[in-house]
Amino acid sequence: MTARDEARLRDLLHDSVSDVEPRSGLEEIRTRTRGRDGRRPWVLGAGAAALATAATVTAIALTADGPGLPARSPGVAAGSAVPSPAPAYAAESLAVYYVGQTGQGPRLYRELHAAVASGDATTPQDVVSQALAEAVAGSPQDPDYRTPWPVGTQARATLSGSGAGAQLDVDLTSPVGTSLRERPAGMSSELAAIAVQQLAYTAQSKALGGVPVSLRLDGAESDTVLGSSVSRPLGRASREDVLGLVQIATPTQGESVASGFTVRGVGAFFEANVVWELRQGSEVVRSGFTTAATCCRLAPYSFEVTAPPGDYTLVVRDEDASGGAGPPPFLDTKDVTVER
Amino acid sequence: MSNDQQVPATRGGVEVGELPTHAQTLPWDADSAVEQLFASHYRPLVRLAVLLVRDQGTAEEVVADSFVALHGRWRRLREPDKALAYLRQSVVNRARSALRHRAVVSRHPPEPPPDRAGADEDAVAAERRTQVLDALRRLPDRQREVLALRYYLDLSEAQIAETLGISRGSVKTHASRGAAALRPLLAPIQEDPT
Repeated sequence: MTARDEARLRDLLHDSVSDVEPRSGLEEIRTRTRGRDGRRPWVLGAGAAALATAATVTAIALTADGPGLPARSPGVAAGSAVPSPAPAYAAESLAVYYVGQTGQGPRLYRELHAAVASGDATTPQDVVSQALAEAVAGSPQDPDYRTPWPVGTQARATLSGSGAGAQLDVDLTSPVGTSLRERPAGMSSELAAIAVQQLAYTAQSKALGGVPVSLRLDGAESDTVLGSSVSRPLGRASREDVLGLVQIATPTQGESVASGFTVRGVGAFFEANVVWELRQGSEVVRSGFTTAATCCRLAPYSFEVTAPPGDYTLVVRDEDASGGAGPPPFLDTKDVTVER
Repeated sequence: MSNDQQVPATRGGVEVGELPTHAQTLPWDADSAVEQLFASHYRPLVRLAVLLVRDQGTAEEVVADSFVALHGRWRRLREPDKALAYLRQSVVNRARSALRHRAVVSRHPPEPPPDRAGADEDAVAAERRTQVLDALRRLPDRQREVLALRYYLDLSEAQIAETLGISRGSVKTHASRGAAALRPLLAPIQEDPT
């Protein structure tokens, strides 16, 4: 490309749009922005404002825990105008992993569930036990996710020792009359391996430091679970290999949000390009792009969406760099309600 | 009061990329800021969007959406530099999104612009414009975006990298590939004696 070529290209591009005279769109823009001055409405009151602040602060605490999804105040839906009365919840939230189907097979997605208080204090052991119980037998909030474990499976955790000698035993109990040692009919070996990783990620995602985890089946050591070999201690495979590579952390499934809301999550995006859409049925109401913190490996992203009141499905996805030739790109979806 | 402040002058319709920032201030409130930015940057941004999406109606929509989004973010931008960078990025992203959406909604190519044929000279110029836009349209998104930002907005490599969220190395690659792809396509036009 010579300087002369560049000059010609410049002239041609300028010339090619030189006859474009847009109709003035200022009135339309004024109409759409009327009454908004780039500020949050203050009608929420002091309590809600404090909540919003708390949500913001915790949401910034990325990457210390698990795959770097934002931590969130327990029992409180971030962005919700009315705090739910939550005396029944302990001051802990559970990071629970579930399985979602992707273009590259089953992958793990992280959800935050509220911990239920047991007695006066909730110990780390209680928290991990509850998270594991939710993982094998609980219900994911997002209908796109599921637990891979057969109905009747139970799991709990026992923390023993302290300091460098600390150890977490995960006890898995097979449904009555069966054994989880072998892979059940109808379950792929891929899903079986992901199921074991689901336990590894859920058991280690809480702030237990690097406490080693051992998996036991029906009260005894077992080389395999669901026909998948189990290492000792139980190791986590790399995040890029087992996690869904596009995850929406907030808003959560079914959450009610204000007309301007922030979407946060993590993902590994081609050229760090985060693609999003807000849909009503098959109609795309809003769409856009943003840039994740880094390209190609799991990194936080966030962007703002503004939409009129209504029910929507938020879709965040990776670009299909193959132009349709490869597997479908990773995506995550959440149903949200924009409140009046 | 915002009315006392200087509105940047429009210079030849290409000021988006080369705005003199030192002498410029913008008002505090989002409404006035959007109006001032609109006055000087609406037309060049629509033209940029036409280079990206071809269809003028879509281009206007993309730019209007970007101004509305800017309004919502004004509290966090405030500075003219940031506001313009945001507008540019928003237009590019929304243009790409519009193209993708259009590809999903219908596999048909967009409506060609209405015939501007009048006098022969006009027809030749119109034909040349159509060919350039067609040539751009056939490029991969990134190459088209890099060329439009480089040769229409005269952005630097660093600015393009920031706008597109890619490395400067990628900007170079896309620019040279895009230009190489355009060269043969544009050759007959370049040789046109007009």
